[in-house]
Order: sequence, then C-alpha cells, then structure tokens
Amino acid sequence: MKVYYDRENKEYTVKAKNIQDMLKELKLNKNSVIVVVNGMVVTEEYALKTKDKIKILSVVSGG
Amino acid sequence: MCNNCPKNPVYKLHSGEQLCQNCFFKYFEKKVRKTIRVYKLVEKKDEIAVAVSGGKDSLTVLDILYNIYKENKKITLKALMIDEGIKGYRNECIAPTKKFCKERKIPLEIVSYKKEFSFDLDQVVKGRKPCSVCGVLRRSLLNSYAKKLQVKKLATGHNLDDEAQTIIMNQFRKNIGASARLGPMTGIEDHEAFVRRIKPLYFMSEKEIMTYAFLKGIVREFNECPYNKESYRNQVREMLNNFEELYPGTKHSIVSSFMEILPALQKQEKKGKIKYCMKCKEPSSQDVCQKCAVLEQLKLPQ
Ligand code: SF4
Ligand SMILES: [Zn+2]
Ligand SMILES: [Zn+2]
Repeated sequence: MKVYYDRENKEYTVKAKNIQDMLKELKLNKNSVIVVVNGMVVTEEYALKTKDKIKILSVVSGG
Repeated sequence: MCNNCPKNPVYKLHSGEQLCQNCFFKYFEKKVRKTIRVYKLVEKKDEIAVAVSGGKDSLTVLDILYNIYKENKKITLKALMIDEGIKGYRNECIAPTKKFCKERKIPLEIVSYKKEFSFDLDQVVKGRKPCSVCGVLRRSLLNSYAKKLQVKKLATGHNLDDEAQTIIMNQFRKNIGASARLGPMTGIEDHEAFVRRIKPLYFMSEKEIMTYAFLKGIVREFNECPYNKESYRNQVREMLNNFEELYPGTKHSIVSSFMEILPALQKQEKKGKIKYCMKCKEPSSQDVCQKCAVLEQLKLPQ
C-alpha cells in the first residue's frame, strides 16, 4: 500500500494492516503526525483497506 | 467508535477516550475557552493583536478568538505578522494569511526584517544559529508593533508542546530565570513598556491543534522553515515525543507541574527591576537589550 508523507514530500510503500503498525514501520512517532485516509482523519486503530488513499501530515510547528 | 455517539473517531485522547469530529470540536473549543476563562486571558474591552505566522497554531488562535468575540463589539481583534525574510517559507505563508484575515475582516499588519533592519534573515545566518537571531528580533518587533497598534494584549499560538520544550530547554541550559516569563499569560498589567502575551492554546497539544486545523480547513499545505530541523528545539521535541509515546501524559505532567512552581519563580525574578536599553530605549534586563546586542554582532546599523 502506498502512503504519502508531507514533511518529506515522499511516497512510501508499506505492508502494515493498520495505522499503528504503519507508523511503526515508517519509524514515525504517533505524536508528531496525523493520518488522513480518504480525506478523513483516523485514529491508530483504523484497519487499512486496499483502495484507501493515505496521507500522513506532520503536526510540527513550522518555525 | 466515538465514546459519545455512533460515529468514526478522529482523535484518541491519552486517557484512551475516542472522539468523532463533532465531539472533538466540542472538546477542543471547551478546553480553549476554559483556559481563557481560568487565566483571565481576555477581559472586557480588551484590544488584542494575534501574532500570526501563517501556520496552524496562530491561525487556529485567530479563528477561535474571532468566533468567540465576533458578536462582542467591545473586544477588538487585529493580526500582526512578521516577515523575517526566509525564502521558500515565510513568503509562502503571506498570501494565505492575507486571505484568511480578509475573509474575516480582521486588519492585518505585516512587518518585515528587510524594512526594519534592512536585511533578510537568509542573508545573515551563515555561520550563526538562525533561530537565536530570528527569535530575538521577532520578539522585539512583536512587542514594539503591538504597542504601535495600541493593543493591550498579544495572543500567540504557543501550545503545550512548545511550552514543555521551552521548560526543558531552560532547565538543560541552566536558564531557569527565563522560565519565570512562561505561563498562559505573561507580562505586567498596564505597563507602558510591555504588551502582555496570552496563549489560548496553552493546554492543547500540537497533534490536537493539527487535527482541529485540518478538519476546519484552516491549513492546507505543509510548510516548514528550512532552519527548523537543525534547531535545538527540534531535538528536544523528538525526545519529548518519544517519551510521550512510552509514557502517555508526559508533556501534560511537565507543564502542569511547572505551573505549580511558576508563582515561586516569578516572585524570585521580580527582584530584578526593569531597565531600559541604552541604545533603543526598549525594556531590557541588561544595559543593552538582546535585539541591539544581536544587531551589533551582525555589525549592521539599527
Ligand atoms: S525555525 Fe528558527 S529560523 Fe525558522 S522561523 Fe523559527 S525561529 Fe526563525
Ligand atoms: Zn461523537
Ligand atoms: Zn536596544
């Protein structure tokens, strides 16, 4: 499954089946991002489906 | 599912409670209103300038204050933006901020380093710590322009993460005196030299603010200062987030235990009287203020 991460402006491919595992796989801290699936914010328990459009948005203040 | 209604959750609190979009909005706004009420951040007939950077935090503060006080003719709201001259970053924040303020009919004042100091931040950072130069000059401009705008208070987007980081940074650098100037409201009432700072998002985490700002359509694209990643603050942020992941509630604990010792810290710091800078006559704890010291180091005329 493909995931876009805005802070790095990169797309990653992940094997994980839910958000929590996906963040672990990408070595991202759950407190520094929010995850948007098909335009909606989801929590860590969300189970990923094959057609999902996934975006990870950084919550870091820009400076 | 949301703890209160049969809808998909958008946020999980560190207590484990899950909230859907509507319940999350309610939770968020209630908590901000409570901070404003408990710490008396806004009072009758206040004139407030919101320091806006164009990022999620400051625009969320502006949006919330606007929504709370738009029907209240006794409270005036203005926006104040500092353009440091950081290519690929601040210049891209300006147009969306103008649009945001225009839609809400909030007057916006933009002050640039270029005009005030005749240089862009980008031009002077080589071989220096960008954030030290940037922060000192920005604070100074925010204070002087807030006075020019004749407001009583300056609201900023500082959040729980920022505050926890600053508390830890001041500890690590043995700069505890600086912590006396933290808290949801800082400064002295009706002092001619200072405009009080208020932080309505004091108890909200970065993640909560981002969730709110995204769902409200306040922010669209990610934008980060090119100097941010190398900063000391960023290292402290990562450390605290790692702790928070292992021990949920850590950031809250840092800030709430800090709030308990803050009155004692403030008492101790009060002893030092406010002086005025020999050069620019702005308030300062030293003979020469930090802004003038930085400008002197940069060997540039004021
Ligand atoms: S990250 Fe540093 S240089 Fe960039 S805007 Fe913030 S304080 Fe200024
Ligand atoms: Zn709900
Ligand atoms: Zn000075």
